[in-house]
Amino acid sequence: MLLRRPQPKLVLSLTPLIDVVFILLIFFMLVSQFSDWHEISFSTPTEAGPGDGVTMVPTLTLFKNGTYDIDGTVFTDRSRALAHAREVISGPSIQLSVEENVDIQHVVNTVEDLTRAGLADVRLHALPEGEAE
Amino acid sequence: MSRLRPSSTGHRPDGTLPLINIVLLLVLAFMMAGTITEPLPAGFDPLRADAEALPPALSEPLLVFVDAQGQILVSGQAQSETEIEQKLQALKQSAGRVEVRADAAAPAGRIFFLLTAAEKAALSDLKIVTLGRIR
Repeated sequence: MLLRRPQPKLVLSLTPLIDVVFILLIFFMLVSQFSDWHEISFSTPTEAGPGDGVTMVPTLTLFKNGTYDIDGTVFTDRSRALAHAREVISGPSIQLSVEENVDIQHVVNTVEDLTRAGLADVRLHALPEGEAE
Repeated sequence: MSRLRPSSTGHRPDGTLPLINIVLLLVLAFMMAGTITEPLPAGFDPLRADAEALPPALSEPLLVFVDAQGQILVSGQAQSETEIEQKLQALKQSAGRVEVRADAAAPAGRIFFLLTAAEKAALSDLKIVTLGRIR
């Protein structure tokens, strides 16, 4: 006549699970990035050197102050500069001379506008700061 | 009547279960949709362009950041020109890839330097990456 002891009920505690899951959530929220990166292609720029002034390709020069120079004609407005470039340049090639301290976003915008204007062959040319003055 | 009353010792459904389900779903969403990469440096405003999406990467690239002051950063550390040239040489030998993430205000000359250094090291897999334009 043995009396059975009632078995203690096992209760699964969810608190540690919640803690771990929350820590995982915070970790992934902090380290995950949803940015969609794209690739742009740039030709390797040629460097300024002796005899560079003599070139058969028309040149568009970008200055830090936002002005453009197309074979000696200076523009302050990009759309006018591009329209002029399209008028005077018959082929698909253009040399884009860029002062080294010009913002890269400005260069990318100009390259994209030139490509849209039909100048597919944009050759970059690094211009040391102040050389074009 | 006492039989109809719910037993005080019986298990009630746990109110935290839906919460755990939702949080687990969020964790899964972040794991699946996000990419774990090196965070952008503080105050970094990435370059934007209408460009082609990057193809899926087979190997982890070396991330090179160029900030608005023209500093070249690898793993958060500023690099001298010589150090970068050495890193590119080493990458060429290990057939590695480089992704350059530039700030929109970075001086063009620094990007030109990286392009020229990659060419000198005969490293063909150096990509300048941008975010898409905000419409």
